[in-house]
Amino acid sequence: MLEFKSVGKSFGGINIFENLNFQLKKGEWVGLTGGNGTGKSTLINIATGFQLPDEGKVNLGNVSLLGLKPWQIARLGVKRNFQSVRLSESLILRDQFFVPDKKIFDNLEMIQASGIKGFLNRFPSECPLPILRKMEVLRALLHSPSILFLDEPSAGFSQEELHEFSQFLITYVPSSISLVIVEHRTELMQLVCTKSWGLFLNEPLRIM
Amino acid sequence: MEFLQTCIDGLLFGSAYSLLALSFSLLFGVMKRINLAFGSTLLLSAVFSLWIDSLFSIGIFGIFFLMIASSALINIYVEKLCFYPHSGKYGATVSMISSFAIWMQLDEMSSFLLPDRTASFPSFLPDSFFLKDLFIRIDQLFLFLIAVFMTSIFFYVLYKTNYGLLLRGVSFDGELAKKLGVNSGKISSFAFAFSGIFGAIAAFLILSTESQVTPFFGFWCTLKGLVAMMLGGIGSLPGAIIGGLFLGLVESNVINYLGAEYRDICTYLILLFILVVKPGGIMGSALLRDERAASERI
Amino acid sequence: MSLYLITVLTNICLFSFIALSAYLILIVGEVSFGQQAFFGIGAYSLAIFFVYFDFSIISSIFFGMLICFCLALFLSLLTIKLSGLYFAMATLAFAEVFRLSMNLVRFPIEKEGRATGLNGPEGFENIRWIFENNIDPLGFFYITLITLTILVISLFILERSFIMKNARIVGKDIILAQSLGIRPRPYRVFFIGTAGAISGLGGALFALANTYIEPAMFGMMLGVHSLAYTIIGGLGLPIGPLLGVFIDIGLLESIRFLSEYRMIIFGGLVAIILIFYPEGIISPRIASRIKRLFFNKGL
Repeated sequence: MLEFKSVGKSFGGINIFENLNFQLKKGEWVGLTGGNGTGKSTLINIATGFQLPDEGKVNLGNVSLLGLKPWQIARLGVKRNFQSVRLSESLILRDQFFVPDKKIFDNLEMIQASGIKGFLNRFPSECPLPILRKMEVLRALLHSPSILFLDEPSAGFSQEELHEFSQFLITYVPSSISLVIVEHRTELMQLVCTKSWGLFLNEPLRIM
Repeated sequence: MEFLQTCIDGLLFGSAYSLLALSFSLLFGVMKRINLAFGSTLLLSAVFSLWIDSLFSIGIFGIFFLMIASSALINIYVEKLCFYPHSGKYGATVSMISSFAIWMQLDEMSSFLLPDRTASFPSFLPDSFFLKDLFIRIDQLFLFLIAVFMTSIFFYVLYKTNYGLLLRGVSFDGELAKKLGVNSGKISSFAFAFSGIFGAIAAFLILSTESQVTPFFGFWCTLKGLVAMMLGGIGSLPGAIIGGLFLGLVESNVINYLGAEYRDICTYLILLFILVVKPGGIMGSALLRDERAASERI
Repeated sequence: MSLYLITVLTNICLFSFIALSAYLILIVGEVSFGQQAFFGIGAYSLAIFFVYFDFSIISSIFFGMLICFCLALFLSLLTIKLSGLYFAMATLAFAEVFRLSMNLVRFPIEKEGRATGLNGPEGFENIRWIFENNIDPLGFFYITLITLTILVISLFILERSFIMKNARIVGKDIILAQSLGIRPRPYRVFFIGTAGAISGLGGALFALANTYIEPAMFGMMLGVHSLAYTIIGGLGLPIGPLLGVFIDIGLLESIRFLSEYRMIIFGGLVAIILIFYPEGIISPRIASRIKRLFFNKGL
């Protein structure tokens, strides 16, 4: 269970949020929405250790995540993807899972059924965007997360692609994983998530 | 008294380092690139101007302006060949290596124009005077004043003119500047030409106080400029000045008290020490932090 | 083979070591201007162990590499917070401190009637292993070639392991690496240390081949050349740096009528190659293409 307790963060004197509180329970699928500059990405960065909050506590179960390095938090099972696709341009997709080969073969069915099969031998520049996004989710899943943050996974998708992607998430993300989808648009989270939260400037997190 | 004399010598000579560091700092501050070919550009422009002088005797002012023009042109050549084609994070390394290759090329060209290995360079100022007991070389004093003066010009161009604004914009976020319609290719050529002009003036002054030019001048410029810049703090203009003066002080004192053979060792030990203890240099810690923050933006 | 050809080939092999050390550091995303120091430390340690202490040649080389490894580890821990130009300048400062202090150390001795030992800028003469053992230039070329081949093969094996794959992400995208739970620092430290040892090995062989070393041989030019070799050759496979060395020493030195214009041509050539192959000739992308052609894992 991930818990934020009265977390505050400001950049150059501008408060992004103060006194932010929430609990993310095991297996909860949450959609997090909010306008520009309300700190959606900052929330992910704090939860995954890429940024430090100015005040407050961040706990995973009984462990405090404050002061842990991003790689330590990742090893605790808090995984994320990034707003911009982070795949190496010089490697073909099947070399980008960064797990032992055995693990890939164990999950071969999932990889093949998810629709990226035909692209495993291609470079990212030769693949359409939805494939790359699925690839990133699969990469995170192969690293067996307990909590997965997706930062704007459907940005740039057409309506059709969005539906397909939501099916993909529902089918392949195990229900034991807590999933947080951060989006501007609410279509994807309506299709996938059971809860939705809203971040508004200078206001506490709103559960909608 | 001896210490004071040593320090004055050091500061006066350090002003030459300051000028070189400023030229490096300009490029690094704006383009986030290191131009290793910089020193040999200055060498080639000096040697070329001397060669033209030997053919047409264009006089000291002719040499001065020809150096400025040729150095700006060579710098643009370097920019088009080594820096313009390479962008992105990996591009910084590639362009540095590419400029290193051109360094070799320019050095070789210079040695063709400098068959005797050394040539005398005209000096234009009276030699020296005594202030009470202190011996002061007037040409070096002049160099010092020029360094201060050129820094002001530098500051003016960077912070008060339109071009300066564009330069800083490109430096802050090249992609964004491109989207806003800034011709970043032109801006980067401008930055290179400007640093070439700046460097040529510096080289002219240094060479005329030395009154000779040797094939090692290019290497010397690049190394001393880089070291002085790192000592003072990357990208900070006052840092470049202070770094240069500090380097001059260290060198003259080490020569005086330990002997000439310890000069460079001490310089590099201090550089290593500063990099380890205070990586931003004497003045540049804030800059380093900002740069880190910018690069860590996810 | 003519003596000239053998010398050129031996040089290609020797400089491949320092190029490979630059390669390892570039893989973890850093640029070192200081690999020449480890080349030099390897050479000097070999000479000292071999001449002063009469160690066997193998243990001299081994201790030389060990010293290089430890010093490189030390340097990488010292500069653990630095990256980019800061790291490059710190390594340059380290290398210059080494080179310049070698100019100051004098401890000449006489051995079997010949002057030898540390002698400041005049260098370290008479490292006579190849004469004592009657090894002709061709024989020594084979020794370096075999050593290099073993090294390259082990790097190829390393290439297929998770260590190299993780190191490449650390170098390419440190943020992604961290988000996957990869701890960046051990990779950096280990690779910089190993690079030091490899460079030291090359230096030790260089000292044996030359029988004479002096501080001026280990200047900044050597280090930046090794970087240039690697960048032209490419970071995709361990043979990339070798290709870079071959292009410089092999191609240009053997075309003798060009030797006068060598640097003018080579300099321009490198800049032009880099425009068309910014990641080197054997770039990681090309390495992936080769892999795609030949290894198909059944995916």
